[in-house]
Amino acid sequence: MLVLTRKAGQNLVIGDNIIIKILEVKGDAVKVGIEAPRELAVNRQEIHEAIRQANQAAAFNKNSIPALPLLKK
Amino acid sequence: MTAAVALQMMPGLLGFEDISAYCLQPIPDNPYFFSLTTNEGPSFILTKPAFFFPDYSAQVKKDLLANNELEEKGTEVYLIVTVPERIAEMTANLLAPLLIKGENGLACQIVLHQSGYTTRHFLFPPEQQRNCG
Repeated sequence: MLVLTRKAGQNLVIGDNIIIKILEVKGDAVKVGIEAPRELAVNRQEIHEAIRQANQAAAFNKNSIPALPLLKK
Repeated sequence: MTAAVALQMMPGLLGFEDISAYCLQPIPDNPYFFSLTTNEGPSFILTKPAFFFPDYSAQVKKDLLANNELEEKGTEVYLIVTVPERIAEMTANLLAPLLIKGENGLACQIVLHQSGYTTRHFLFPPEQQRNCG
C-alpha cells in the first residue's frame, strides 16, 4: 500500500480523472472531497459492505419467488 | 408499467458485480410489487416507495438534485425488498434505492449518503404485521 502524507488543502490525483481533496483535519477526523467519474461508486467502506450484504440477503432463486401479501388498502 | 422491461444495470449491483442484464416486470395480480430477474443469477422483489414510504421520494429527489444525479426526467425510484420467512417482516432497503429509467433501459443502485436511512426498514410497522401475510 502506498502511504503519503498530505495537509488540509492539498490533493491527490489517481489516474487521469480521480482527485482526492483533503478538505479539513480536525482531531481524529478527516474531511475528504472526491472528484471521480460518475460511473465509479464512492462509498464509506462500511456502507459498501452493508449494501452488498443487503443485496445478497434480498436475492433469491428465480424458481422460488416468495409469495407476497396482497394488501388491503 | 404493464409489460416486462429489459434493463442494463450499470454498474452491477454490489455483491453481483458481474451481472448486468435484468428484466423488470410487474407481479401478476399484485400491484405493489415487481420482480427483477436475471437469466442465470439472482432475482429480487422490488416495490415503489409511494406504497409504503410516502415521504421517501421527495427526499430522494432532493438528495439527487443536490448531487446532480437526477439529470433526466422519467427516472423512477424502486426499492429492493428482502422477504424473510415471516413475510410480514419484509424490509426495504431505503439506504440504497434503484433508479430505473425504463425508456432507455438503464438502472443503477445509488446510495443516499447522510440520509439516515438503513438497508432494512419494515414495510409493515410491527403493530400491523400480524394483519398481513
